[in-house]
Amino acid sequence: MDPGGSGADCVVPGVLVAPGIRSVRGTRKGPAILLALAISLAVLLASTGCDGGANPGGYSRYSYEFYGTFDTVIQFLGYAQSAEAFETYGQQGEARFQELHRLFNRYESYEGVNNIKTINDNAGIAPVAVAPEILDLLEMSREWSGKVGGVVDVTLGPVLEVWHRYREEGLADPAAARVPTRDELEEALSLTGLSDLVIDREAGTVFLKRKGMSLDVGAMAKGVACAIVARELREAGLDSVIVSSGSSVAVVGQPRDGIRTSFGIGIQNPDGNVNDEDEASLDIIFVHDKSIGTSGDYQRYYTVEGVRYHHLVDPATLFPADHVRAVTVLYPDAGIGDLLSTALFLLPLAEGQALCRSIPGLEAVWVLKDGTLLATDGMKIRMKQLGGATSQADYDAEASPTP
Amino acid sequence: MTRRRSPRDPADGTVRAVSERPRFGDALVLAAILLAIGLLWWSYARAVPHGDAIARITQNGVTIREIVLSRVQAPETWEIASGEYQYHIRIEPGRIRFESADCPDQVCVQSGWMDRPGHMAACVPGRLLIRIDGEGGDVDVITR
Repeated sequence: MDPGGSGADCVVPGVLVAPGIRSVRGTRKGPAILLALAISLAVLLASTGCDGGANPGGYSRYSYEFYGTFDTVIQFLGYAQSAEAFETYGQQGEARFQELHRLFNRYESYEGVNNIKTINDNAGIAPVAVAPEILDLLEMSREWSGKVGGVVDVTLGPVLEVWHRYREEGLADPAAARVPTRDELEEALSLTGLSDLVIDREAGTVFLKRKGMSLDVGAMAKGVACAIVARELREAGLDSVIVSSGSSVAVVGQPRDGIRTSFGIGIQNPDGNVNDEDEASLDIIFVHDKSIGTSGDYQRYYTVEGVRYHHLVDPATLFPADHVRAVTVLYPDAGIGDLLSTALFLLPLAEGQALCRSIPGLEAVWVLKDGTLLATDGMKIRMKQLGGATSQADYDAEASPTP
Repeated sequence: MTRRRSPRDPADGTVRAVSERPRFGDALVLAAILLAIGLLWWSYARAVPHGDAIARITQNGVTIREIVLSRVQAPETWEIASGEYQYHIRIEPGRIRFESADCPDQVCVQSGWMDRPGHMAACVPGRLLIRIDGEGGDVDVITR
């Protein structure tokens, strides 16, 4: 697996027409020197790995994908010293994803596992002892809900359930697709509120105070899972890998190809189904040791009388937000980044921009309704088309941050 | 390409003019230089194909077909079943896509054309995936 640029790396211009040929005329030492030069060059060329072998340190690029968790395909893409080594990391990560999928699930019960559904089933009845991963996720969500003005709220379960039911019905029978009534949504809203979520860290329990309440962690569960698995893979020794669920991407280290200092994350074109458009991605963000989160109106939706209703519901209006097509954020932690991408999608553009300025380390790029991109300065300098960045530029960007 | 020019080109006549008759050593130098040129050319020629985008189609994680997209001569629509669903995969010179599928969510079809390393489209219900591999592209994964 040779990086594309290596052909150029191997060219040694001028050496074979060395000035020595002219300078040595008349002496018979010349050919001997030339001979030594030519032979050493030949030996050098044959032995330096200029032939397209492995990258420096013997690293090659591998990909590992699997299904069955979080309703999507999970991909690990990274550099390791052998296929077997990468496979082993892949299996470790897959097993952990399955565990986290069970913990964060609100629709399925699993033998011997207290998960989000267990908490919901016990709303108004009893606190439920849960794994530390669930406590961490809920505490993080509560803390950050406050920071984003409550626009992301894990207790919004009842409202999202109403939309979920209508979406399933609408997809099963498009002709009969309907929009939820105001009354239904208002009634569901009365069963929400973070003040009625009790997280007891010492007892290790979670309790929803009123019957009918329910948690929905869809806005951050995939990102939290990516963050946990990325951290554990790094601890296990895999130091150059992308953990991607599509909407959430955790980047560990930098590509070990000897050339690039950052991985390239493509932003999906919301209208990717346009046949005459051969660019499947809009732009590229160069990232190392950070995470990317994306929320868009094209992920899960159904259509009623020609109008699209997607799954990202604004608690203020109880309807899907309609400010932008999509937003992609850059943030150190993938779990918080996932939550923040949802928040920025739900907020009006100006409020989202203000939020970006108030949260250190948060950068964002919005895909506006007309298809144009709008990015914060810190995002722009990492983007290929919008900011002219290259896969080597990310470090430079951090060395001289824009004011 | 300057490196292919022989050091004994006629343009180099001054060398000949002051030299004595060619000796065995000269031939050896020439041979070594030609060898070096050959090796250089060989390494260069080998490096070129790495830019090629290879489409890998996997079913439940197992590769079932690989296509070097630049070597596709004639467009083709490949019909394949996976899980409970039927798919039409469109293969054209340099690019590939899910053309149609009878899966419930249509995410694979909506992913559109893929033509460079890093591009990927998956049908989760049917566990069918197309991924473009290859080095030299800027995109490792796509977020959506």
